[in-house]
Amino acid sequence: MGAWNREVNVTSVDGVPVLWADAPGPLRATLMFRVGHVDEKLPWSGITHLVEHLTLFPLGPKREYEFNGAVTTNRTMFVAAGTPADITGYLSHVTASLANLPLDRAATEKTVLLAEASSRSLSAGDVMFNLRFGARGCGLYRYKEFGLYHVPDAWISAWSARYFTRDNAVLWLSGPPPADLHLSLPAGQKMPDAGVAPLPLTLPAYAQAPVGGAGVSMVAPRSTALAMSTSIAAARLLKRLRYDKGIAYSVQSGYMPLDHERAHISLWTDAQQGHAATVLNDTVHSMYAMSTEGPATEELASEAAAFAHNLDRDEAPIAWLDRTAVRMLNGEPAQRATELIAEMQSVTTASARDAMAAALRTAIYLGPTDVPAPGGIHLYAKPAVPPVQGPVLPHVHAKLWKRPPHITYSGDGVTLTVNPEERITVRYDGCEAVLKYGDGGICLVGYEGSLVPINPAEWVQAAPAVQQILQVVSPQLSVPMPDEKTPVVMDLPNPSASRGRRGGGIPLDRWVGLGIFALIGIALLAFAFTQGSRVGAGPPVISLLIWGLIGFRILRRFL
Amino acid sequence: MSTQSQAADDLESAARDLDAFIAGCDDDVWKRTVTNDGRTVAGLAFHAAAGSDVALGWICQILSGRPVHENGDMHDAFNNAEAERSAGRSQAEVRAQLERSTGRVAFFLRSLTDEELDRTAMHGIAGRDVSVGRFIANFGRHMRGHLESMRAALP
Repeated sequence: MGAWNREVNVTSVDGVPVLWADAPGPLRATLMFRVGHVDEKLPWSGITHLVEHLTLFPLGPKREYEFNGAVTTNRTMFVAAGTPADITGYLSHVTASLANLPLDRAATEKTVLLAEASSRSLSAGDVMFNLRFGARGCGLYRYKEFGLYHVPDAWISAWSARYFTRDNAVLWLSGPPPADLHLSLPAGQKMPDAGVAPLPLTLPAYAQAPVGGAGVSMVAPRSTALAMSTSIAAARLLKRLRYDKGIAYSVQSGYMPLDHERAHISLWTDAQQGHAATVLNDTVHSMYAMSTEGPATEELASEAAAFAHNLDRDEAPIAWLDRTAVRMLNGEPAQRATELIAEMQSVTTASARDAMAAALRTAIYLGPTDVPAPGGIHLYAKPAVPPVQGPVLPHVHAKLWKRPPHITYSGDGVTLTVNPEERITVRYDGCEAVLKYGDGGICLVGYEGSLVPINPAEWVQAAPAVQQILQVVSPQLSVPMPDEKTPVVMDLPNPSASRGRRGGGIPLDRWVGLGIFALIGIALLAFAFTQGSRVGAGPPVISLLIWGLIGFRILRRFL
Repeated sequence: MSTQSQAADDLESAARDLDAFIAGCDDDVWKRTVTNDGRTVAGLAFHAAAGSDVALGWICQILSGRPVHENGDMHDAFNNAEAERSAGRSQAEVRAQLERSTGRVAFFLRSLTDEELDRTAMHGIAGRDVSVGRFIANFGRHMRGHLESMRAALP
């Protein structure tokens, strides 16, 4: 087979646009639909993933050809590699299965997917998206796929019927379409790109999270200049952190179009504990340098040359077909490889610098919880949600605090006051989901990602308050999670574990404390009455009074 | 006039009215929330324009004898999620969507045979079996209903 001529052939099969180019190896196919996580809402998140799993389930675990399925931010893909007959059979199965999902398998597949999710740890990318988008769109990655707990079969079918249509699909093939290829998909809606708006945040900012490394995420107008400056910034950072300092292994950079106009850009460096602060600092400096000086002319030329060189590789048509298919799926005009090379060659130091400077104004830096904010960068703060006024639920151990935490609720929402400086409010009109746990508690999830859990064992009179709240919020937001327990807000040490054996309901160490207190009290009394001084005057009596006051507070805390 | 042509003409007429309305919206109106609906004018206009495509999908299901599972709750939930994502769409985008959807749906409606009009299947929103012939009258009605709501949002 000769070298790829850098052209993509466009045709259609049964109303589905089909792109193809010759590439070596088995025939590869990807049928993709413009539906993904961004199209879901938190209470039914995971529904697309479920459709994908159910579609492929009847094929069983083993086939003579490779196949798989995947759901990304904004698309769902069914991929296979094999002979032309394999591909025809596979796509015939996928399209037929989408129209008639094996719903008798749905309950089991939900369990499989929840198991898959439990083995997946939270990534830095998940956190970055959530900080920027809250509990909507790309921000959903931070949460479990709550739809898997409860979404009914009819919803799964309806979701499939609505989004898995020929008008919302593109197929690419690494060779000409087999003559007997059929794609029996119904007509439907062509989904536009996902226009999920980022949260209104004060940026740039720095956020801390339990992550092993440091990095930055930005959102800016899409441009080749921005993609190139991001790639060059990552290469510079890698050189500095890995080759010069020897404290990092890789720097991952990402450039993900969000819609027709904007792209999400990210750089992430894994780091051992103790090096994250250095990594963060170098990331900040590297981005700053890129946004003020821009890349060198040689760096830009090298990027363009590397891209052109990659187009000569065997797998180049595959990557280009996928890129073209995504553009077509999003309703964007196709682009020739030669056009992109010319565009890359026209990027200048100034245009790359300006693109990065615009991006940097939206930066959210991310580092581990023990790394403070770099100089001059504010700590990340979610959009302010005004607290509600109404009945108060005190904490069951309120006496442990001078200003105890409490929950306030009303017909507008719920405010959790952890302390006078820390308040979290979820208003019902900004509530994305209400998680309902088996112990009768709930957790409200706000649009900006705030969580307010109400555990009946943690707050006085919580159970009736929960009932009142559930009467106000839309039932569509409810996510029943009967096998799980409501999280608690204040993580108090377990008394039975930390206090030792109990006597009469009071731990042993508290009995010892009470004994000492009583002995000192008796000694003071004896001193007051045996030294010949009048009762009601003199230092011993004052000491006795003070001791009594201290004792009252101690007894109150003990009992 | 045949049922098919009548439905297609009605849809095209409603689409012309909707297009004129969208073209006449200033920025303030475009971003306004529609009373008694909750969606913005932009979001609702997009729904009115693209809704024909969704309904076309249902007709395809009915024609092939498969039930339409989408019921009222799902319909509202899916539409609300879509309206949220569409709240930032420009007038040009929505007008392009309207032109595209109306053109293809009207063509499809005119191509239906009399035999196809008699085919029925369960429809979740109606809660009973519906025929293609009865269903296709909803295309223009759906668009006009939302157009009236949007007009009511004007000062």
